[in-house]
Amino acid sequence: MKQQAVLTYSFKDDSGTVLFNLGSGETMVLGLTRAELEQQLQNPESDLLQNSSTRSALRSFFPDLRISS
Amino acid sequence: MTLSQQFLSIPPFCFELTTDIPLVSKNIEHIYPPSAFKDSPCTDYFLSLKHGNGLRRFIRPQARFLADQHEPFKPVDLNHGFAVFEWGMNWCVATQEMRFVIIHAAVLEKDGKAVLFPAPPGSGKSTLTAWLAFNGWRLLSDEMALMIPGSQTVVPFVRPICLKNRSITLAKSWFPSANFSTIAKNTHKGDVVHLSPPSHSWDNNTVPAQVVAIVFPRYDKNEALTVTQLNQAQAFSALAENAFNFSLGGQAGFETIVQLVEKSQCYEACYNDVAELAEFLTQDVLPYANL
Repeated sequence: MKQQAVLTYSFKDDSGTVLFNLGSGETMVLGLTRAELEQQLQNPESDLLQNSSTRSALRSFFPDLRISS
Repeated sequence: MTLSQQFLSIPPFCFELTTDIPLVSKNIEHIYPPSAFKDSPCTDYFLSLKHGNGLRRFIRPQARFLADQHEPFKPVDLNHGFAVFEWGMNWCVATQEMRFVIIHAAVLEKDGKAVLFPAPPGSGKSTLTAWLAFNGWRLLSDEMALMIPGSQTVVPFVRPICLKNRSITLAKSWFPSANFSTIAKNTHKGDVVHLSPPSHSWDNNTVPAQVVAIVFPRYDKNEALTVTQLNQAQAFSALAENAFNFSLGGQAGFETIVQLVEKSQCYEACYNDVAELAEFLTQDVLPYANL
């Protein structure tokens, strides 16, 4: 894990990835591996970004996230 | 009224208590072992429990709790004084201590292996804790796990076990010769009694242990033992909900919770018989846990 504003960590059993905002202390656990998460974040049509509450929560971690709504 | 002053060494902390409420000092002397009482100050926290002012000394008398001049709780019925002293100590540690990653959980150890039992109120955590502590396990804490950041090491904070409502009768029938506090009736948690753990737990209250398992218990009188293994993402979510201060600890706090779930066996256990759950822990969890 590298020191940055948001820590991203994928669990060793591939059960998911946790995001931790070092500034606010917020965490978010997603049932996706890091590769799956990166893939979904790059695709505005992905299931992850189609869900409005998930999309809104993700903005706390990735303010620059480009999402077509 | 006589003011009594007691210096209590409850590792890893020391508390100085000043009180003019005899019921509080009597309960402390009854519940804590002689080794907890010190002659000289060694204080981390200055606590006081005193009668309410004015008419409140005479009409429906109240107790006021102060920690280093803060008054975190509203005055309570005088008979709730000892319970508020216990909750006040929890409040001090939960709000002030940043040396540890603190998890709202009971901690018990057997064969050098510690199990965390994080759970919300009403899950039967304290009843389970009491049963295990009097049946071959060592109590490290009934209320909060003090984790050394970046490790699996949990530091004991041995205190009386807080029993509520129906669990009071149950515990008194299980352990008739144990030391119980007087009952605090109709507190915001219902009727409350504190139970002194066995001497083995007090005598080893500076001996840390390594966490090997995390069990989220849930008592349901209608359900026989059902154990579900949690994956690491599920366990992290559940554990983080019970971790008071890990987010304030920044990267070290976060990594402590991540390591805990990755290096521990994690289960959710629904039970209606504490002995059955204990058997599961002893036969199916501890033998397969590596230190």
